[in-house]
Amino acid sequence: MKKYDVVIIGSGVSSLTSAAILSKKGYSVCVLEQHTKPGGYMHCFSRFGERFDTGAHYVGALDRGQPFHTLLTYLNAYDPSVFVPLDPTGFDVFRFPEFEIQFPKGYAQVINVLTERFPTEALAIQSFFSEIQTAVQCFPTYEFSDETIDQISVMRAIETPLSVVVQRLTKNADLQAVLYSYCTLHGVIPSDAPFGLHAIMMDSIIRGPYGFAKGGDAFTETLVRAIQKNGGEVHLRKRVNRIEIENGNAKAVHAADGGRYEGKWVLSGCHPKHTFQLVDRQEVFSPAFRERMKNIKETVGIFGIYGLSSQTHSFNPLKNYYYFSNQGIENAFNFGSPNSKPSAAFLCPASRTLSAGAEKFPFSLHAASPMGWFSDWRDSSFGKRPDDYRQQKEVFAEQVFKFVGEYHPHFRESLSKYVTSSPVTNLHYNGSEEGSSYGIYHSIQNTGARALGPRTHVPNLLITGQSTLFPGILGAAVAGLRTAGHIVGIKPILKELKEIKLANGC
Amino acid sequence: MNNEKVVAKVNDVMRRGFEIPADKLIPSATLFEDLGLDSLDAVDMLVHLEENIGVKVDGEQIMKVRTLQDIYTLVENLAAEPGAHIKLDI
Repeated sequence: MKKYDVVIIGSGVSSLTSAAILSKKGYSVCVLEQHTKPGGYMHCFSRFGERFDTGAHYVGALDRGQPFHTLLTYLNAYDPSVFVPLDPTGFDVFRFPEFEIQFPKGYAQVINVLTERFPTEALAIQSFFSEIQTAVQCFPTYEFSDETIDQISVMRAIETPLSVVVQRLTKNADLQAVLYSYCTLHGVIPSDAPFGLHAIMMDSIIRGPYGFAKGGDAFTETLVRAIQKNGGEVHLRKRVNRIEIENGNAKAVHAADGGRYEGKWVLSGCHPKHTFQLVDRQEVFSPAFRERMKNIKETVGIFGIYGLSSQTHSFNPLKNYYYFSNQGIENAFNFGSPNSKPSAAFLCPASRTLSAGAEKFPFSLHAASPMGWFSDWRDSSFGKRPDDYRQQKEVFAEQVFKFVGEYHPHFRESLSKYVTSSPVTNLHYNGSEEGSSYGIYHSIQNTGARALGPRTHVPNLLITGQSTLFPGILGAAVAGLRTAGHIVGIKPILKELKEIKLANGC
Repeated sequence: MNNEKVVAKVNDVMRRGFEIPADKLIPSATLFEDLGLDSLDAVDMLVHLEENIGVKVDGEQIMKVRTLQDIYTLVENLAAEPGAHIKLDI
């Protein structure tokens, strides 16, 4: 039996980032993926002759020398053909009942647009974005600084709620709503959201927004190629069902097909709750830890609609569309029933190119929905769920269509075909018990000193993934960097990343 | 002199949460050396205390805790804050 330096469970962005770093540093790595292809939430699927992404909508900080570009360059996984720059004149469209705002690329441009819309709030707008830029500077695994961390600044950034910063700067409810819009990208309400987390999200998106030219699968392939080039292995159809513990340490990982993989380290990119359930000696965890894991809050479940609209002129493939009701983002994750209107929705073009004269616009459309609406079917098998499950999905899908129809009249009538996914679908693919897209609830309560990982109570079992740091593709990649850094030492990697960043003029 | 209810409650939380024998739970016991906790346990302890006693402890305060006596004092101080609703029933 072959033994590895590191056995990695799951092949999402975090796991692959860790694997790429560790294999680059000469460690033998073996990635075990339960599905038929790697990528986790980067999965694409084909329907109606189109490719649809499940989680890869867009990513930031990808201009030359920016954090994500730098990290991918370091991993030998930057392929420019995989990405497409979004519309610099307005890549994110925010639709509110009374007004619309489009965010152009670049701080100065965003500030101009907002100041034009809210002229009396010029100082607040300037101050907010200045505080965003200051906050991100204190995160070394984002800014790639190898200098000593200023703990006080970090604490301040992650223990100050977003709402406190915004409400201190402006009382204008419309402007507040705009500044809170990206809460939909981490699923944390403004009074719970660490300002630093929101700052990284906004900074990365404003500076370098890119879509996926060929879907998330193509991005995954670049990471897998880099790992394999370094001698690493990626095995598919290997569903891990046990982490074997010996003398308090992880000894091996067992797959459902009987395979056993020994590693000096075991690293898991699966959801932390799922990872800890895999450990075969639960007594390594204290009752306090088990209780904590049981109670830890998850971000809300996500509902997905993947379809074709004939309203080709209403949408630009290089823009994303956010829709908000008057309910306010603080109440965005309080739910009525599947038969009630969502308070927010996100529409992303499924293809970033739309030829002139195209008759169909492929899109994915997402809205928050609790697992509770679908929990009757959580134990049914994927692909074999009964009709009443489909009917329940239809009820909510119609509400989402109605909501989007308030901004795009006759949107429902424009649809020729669509399929839907529910929190139960997410549970099948990413192991989130709430069917969430973002993992644990990244509130102040679950961040900083209280954050999970990368270390665990099993000394050589590490966790990674968006639940351990911050959500999204960039968050997952940075989490992977941080976890790998725990094995090989983070400072030398940060130094190398800094050199790449500087060489690229940043 | 510590508030007896606070001492009993904190000890109960430590005993149940970390399976520490009652005779080891003396005020001078250090969390790491005497009670065998590590830095990860310290975070679990923070969360466990917050959930069981209904206090909100900030990260900086918990980092300063060295002994069981420090925890008693911390909880007593939090209980004395205006509007504090500490759950001390066992």
